[in-house]
Amino acid sequence: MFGSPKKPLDRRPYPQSTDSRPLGIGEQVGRFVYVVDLQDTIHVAPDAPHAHPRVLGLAQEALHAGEIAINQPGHVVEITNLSGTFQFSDRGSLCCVATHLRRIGFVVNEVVWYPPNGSTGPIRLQCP
Amino acid sequence: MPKLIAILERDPARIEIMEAWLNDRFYMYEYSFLKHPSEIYEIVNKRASDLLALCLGCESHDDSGIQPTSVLELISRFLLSQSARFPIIVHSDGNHPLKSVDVHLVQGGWYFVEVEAPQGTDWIGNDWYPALKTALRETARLEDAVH
Repeated sequence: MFGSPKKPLDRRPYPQSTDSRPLGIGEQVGRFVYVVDLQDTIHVAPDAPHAHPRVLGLAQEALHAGEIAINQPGHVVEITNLSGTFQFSDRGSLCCVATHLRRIGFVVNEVVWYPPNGSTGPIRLQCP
Repeated sequence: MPKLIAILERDPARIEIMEAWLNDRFYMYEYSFLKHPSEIYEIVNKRASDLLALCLGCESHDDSGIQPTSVLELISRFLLSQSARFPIIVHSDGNHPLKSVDVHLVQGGWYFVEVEAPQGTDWIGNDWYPALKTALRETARLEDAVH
């Protein structure tokens, strides 16, 4: 279960990016930002600074957000909670993203959690 | 206290792009742009235990005419004398072979990676930021999700 939804810190109502789409098993190899909408759908867009507000657009709430890297078809090399726009900090929610990706059919290699206060380096999570 | 990412880089255009990535993704960490190699000694001496990563621009030598590789050799010798360990990411235009620096640091137990930094700033998002993140992941500890 994801935690409580959050609004983006940047509340400007950006339009949704034309590159934003729901993530499917056929997604191309590359680096993306992702945002989980209130229906648990994972949306992705090409990685770029401050790309998260435009994944859903219109300052919509999200259940989680971060980065995802696909290094071969169907194979996620890494997911993180890195998003300055949303700043999700819950480890369990990040593991939920991994669970959703596995349900879609992805192999997930690394789940990397960054602590919100920056007191330590990142931690590679062993998600159940 | 937040961990620190230190970056030896003087080019304002590069700094602007690097800051955009750092502010958007590594907002939880402190970062500091160093203008001169001598600042590395200072920051390592003062904050070695806080350092999350050290990024070195190979072209960022001082104005004394010393070759960048010479600066890196000196820095690597200094780092090898330290007990703290953090990833080192060097960005270089490829004109200065770093092999000996690489070998010495890796043999000394350091995580070292080199990123090619050609003209322009596209390499920062395409290569430097991913290399920094990979370095942090590769040196991260493993924990159960429930903490």
